[in-house]
Amino acid sequence: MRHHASGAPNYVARHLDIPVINAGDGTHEHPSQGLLDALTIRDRKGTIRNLNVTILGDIQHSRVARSNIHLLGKFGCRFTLCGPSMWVPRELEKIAPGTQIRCVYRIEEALEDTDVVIMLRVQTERLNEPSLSPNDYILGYQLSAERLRRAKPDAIVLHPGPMNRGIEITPDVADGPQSCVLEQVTNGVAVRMAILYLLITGAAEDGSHPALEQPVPHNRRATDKVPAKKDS
Amino acid sequence: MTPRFRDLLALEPLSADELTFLLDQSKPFQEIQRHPLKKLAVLRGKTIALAFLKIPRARASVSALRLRVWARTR
Repeated sequence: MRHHASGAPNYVARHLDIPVINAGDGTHEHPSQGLLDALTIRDRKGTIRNLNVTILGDIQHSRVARSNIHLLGKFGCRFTLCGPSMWVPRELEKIAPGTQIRCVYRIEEALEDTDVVIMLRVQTERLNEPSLSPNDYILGYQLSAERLRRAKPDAIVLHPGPMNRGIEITPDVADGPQSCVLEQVTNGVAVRMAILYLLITGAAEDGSHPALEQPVPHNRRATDKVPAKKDS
Repeated sequence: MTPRFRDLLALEPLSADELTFLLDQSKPFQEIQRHPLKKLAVLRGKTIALAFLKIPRARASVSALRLRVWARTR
């Protein structure tokens, strides 16, 4: 369930006796995005422990950033949050007690020595004159190949999509060797399949997946019956 | 002990072990993504409601869906 109000899925879960999956609620959390990002990072870096993670963009309004912090923070990752000051208030440093979080306002400083850069989608309707024009954002915070050179040489770049190429990220970085966006897309499907499977059928005690051995042998909906065609 | 989840509402309350379990359980589904046919029968017969409550008009259709989900699961 996706909802604009933070906590709406919790409310629904209290009133229904079926599993509820939060697909993004307001500025609270986006659990499946947090999981697919962690899976992508683990596959590329071999671990999600003790990494330096930089998150760039509108952190204040981002449920993706919060889910990333709550997941990766439990594995000892340290966070640098960066963006225009109205999008990166200092209170964010306290959202996950026990996790090291700092807010910085210069992208060059934020990228220094980082292992993972997580971009957030810039809501272009939030870029308005005179406080912050698209051009100001590009000048101050766009991730370009030149800026990315301050990160570790094997740093990776994630973006939840869809990307505004030429706004928050340059096309050469978006499609470059450090970009993980294509893995994120396939991992997103895998993580969501796993969540549906675990919540609806439950995992086997020994962790095996007997059902996964048998792909559906026909290319139609996996329902028991094909619905009868209505007379036209 | 295999962790059990009724809902997935947030990552904040989950432990590192539970999060690792969820990531590990996703591995076989990554394999499926490389198959020519990316479908599985694991949810055969179940009804899933996708509720994207961003547009006001969606409300009525979701309450109809909810009735259907209840009817199928009880």
